[in-house]
Amino acid sequence: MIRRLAALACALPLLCAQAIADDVAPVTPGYRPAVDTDEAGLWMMSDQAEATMKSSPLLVKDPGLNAYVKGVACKIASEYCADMRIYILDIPYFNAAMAPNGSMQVWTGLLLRVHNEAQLACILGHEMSHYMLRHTVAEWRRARDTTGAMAVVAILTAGAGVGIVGSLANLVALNSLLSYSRDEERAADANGQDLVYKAGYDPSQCAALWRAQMTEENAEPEHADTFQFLKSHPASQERLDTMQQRAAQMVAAANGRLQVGADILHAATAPFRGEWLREEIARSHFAQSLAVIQNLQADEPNSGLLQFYLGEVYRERNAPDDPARALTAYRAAVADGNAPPEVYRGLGLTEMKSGDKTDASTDFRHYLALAPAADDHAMIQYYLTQLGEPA
Amino acid sequence: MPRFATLARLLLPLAAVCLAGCTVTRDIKAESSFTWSADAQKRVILIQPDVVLGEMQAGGLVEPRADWTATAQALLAKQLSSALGQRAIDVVAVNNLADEHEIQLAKLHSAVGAEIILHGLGGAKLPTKGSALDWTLGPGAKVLHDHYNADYAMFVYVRDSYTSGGRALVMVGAALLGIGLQGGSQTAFVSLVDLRTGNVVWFNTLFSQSGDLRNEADTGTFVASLLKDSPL
Repeated sequence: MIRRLAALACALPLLCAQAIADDVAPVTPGYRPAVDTDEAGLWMMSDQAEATMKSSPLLVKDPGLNAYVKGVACKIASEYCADMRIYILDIPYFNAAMAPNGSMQVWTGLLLRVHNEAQLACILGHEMSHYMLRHTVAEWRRARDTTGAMAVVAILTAGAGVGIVGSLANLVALNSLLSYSRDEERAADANGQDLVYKAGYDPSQCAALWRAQMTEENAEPEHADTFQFLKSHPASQERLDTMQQRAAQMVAAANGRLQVGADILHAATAPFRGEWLREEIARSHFAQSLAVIQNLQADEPNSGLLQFYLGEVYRERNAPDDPARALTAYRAAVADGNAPPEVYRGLGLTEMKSGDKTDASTDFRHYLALAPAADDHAMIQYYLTQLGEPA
Repeated sequence: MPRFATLARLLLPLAAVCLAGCTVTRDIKAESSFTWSADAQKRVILIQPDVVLGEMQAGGLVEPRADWTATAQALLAKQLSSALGQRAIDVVAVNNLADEHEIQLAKLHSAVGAEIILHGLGGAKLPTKGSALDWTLGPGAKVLHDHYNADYAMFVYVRDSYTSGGRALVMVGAALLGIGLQGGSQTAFVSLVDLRTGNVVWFNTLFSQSGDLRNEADTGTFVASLLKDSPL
């Protein structure tokens, strides 16, 4: 059924990804470059990088989570599934990247930020499109030719004493060395969205994810370094508009049979979200962390876990009204029922700071009762004696 | 492909004293004595050489070549085995480390090797370290000793680039204008680790503008230069 829908959608001109410029044809399933080519060299270097990634301490080895992400990737990659290898890296930033040999890295900061399976599929589809359309080798050939031109210009201008022309050429060449071209990004957007749609996901989630990331970035533009992915994938209005326009046509053609998959994503990531949120807050970019949590709360307004971490952000930021905000969030977390024991530590620390000794003691004792083996047991015990409790 | 250039760039000071077509080496030995557990059984494990060969393009970008690299890797392993064989040393090639701990040891060695180049042989001397070779992978290296029943491990790193036709043209053009541009070159290091202690006992760096690791005779010459001052 889905396949038929896709065939129908392809009749509309906007919906089919266009092959990009250059003489590089897309890969076929099981593709390997001939050993004496520039592409084989790129694969060799990627193989080496992949070996390093495999033995990296940042690699997330949990079999369940790996199987889940790989499963989503395979659903959209279909006959290319066997050519893709996915490595989840424990880094609290929003990023994913594809190597030319079929190895992809996905960071936990991204897994924290996607709201549903369709959004995860959008990212995976975009990245694997760079592989399928062989963008790295196209990029490499462009760089090779551009730096060739650069060296020639440098020599010509060095002799004539017009250094400025030389450095300008350097800049231009450097720029095109650093990232995929806009055309390639557009092609990956379109191809990725097609893959997502063919697999039965709602393609309008791609634009939704982009918008959420822009909100987060705007929350703290001075720390835009969080957004490695956005840096190399500038979310221009034009790209967003195109994505939305294509999605609208697909959604209309699909006649309601599209999957978003919020519950299934939440079930797969639930065991890790507490740790990912803790790492997110540890970056100390509080405005961004607030945006992340508030974005997630739009889907899960009653999550005690999210309320607890909202409280943690306020407590750690400690701006003038933050202690009161922290207390409100912690209390909401307790009321929701699924907050971790640390919520009582948060309450205790905030109350202790504002001089509310009785409540602080009660909450600290509650925390120790719920988490007797906590790492900071001795520290909390010390606070309790400071608050006048017998040791 | 930044990995291609990182360590090779650290070795560039060697290039400064090297005129066209020359080969220079600089080595450093530990003060500890070099011993074998038993004379009857001298065994060294050769961790798969970390080799990348590439072609330097007109603009100076090095294009990695998988076919050349595979050829060089095989020739190097063969020549190293035969050179050590002549010293009555048994060489065990370890090409695919599978054990998690052994993989981490090899990674640790890449990090330590880069530090030795930078601080031991390079310009960035550490004020408290002096110029002695007193770097170590730590006693954890013993797992390799126990696994292979070998006293020493040899690590080899080679980055080798050849001048493309386009690069040669650019170099000629530059020379006409009185500018010296670099063509392809070899940068390499070899290190010997005592697996009983983890200590790096010998470390040698090499820079050369001649020789072709894609042919056997040149690879033999390369290995001879690389091992010239070795305590083996």
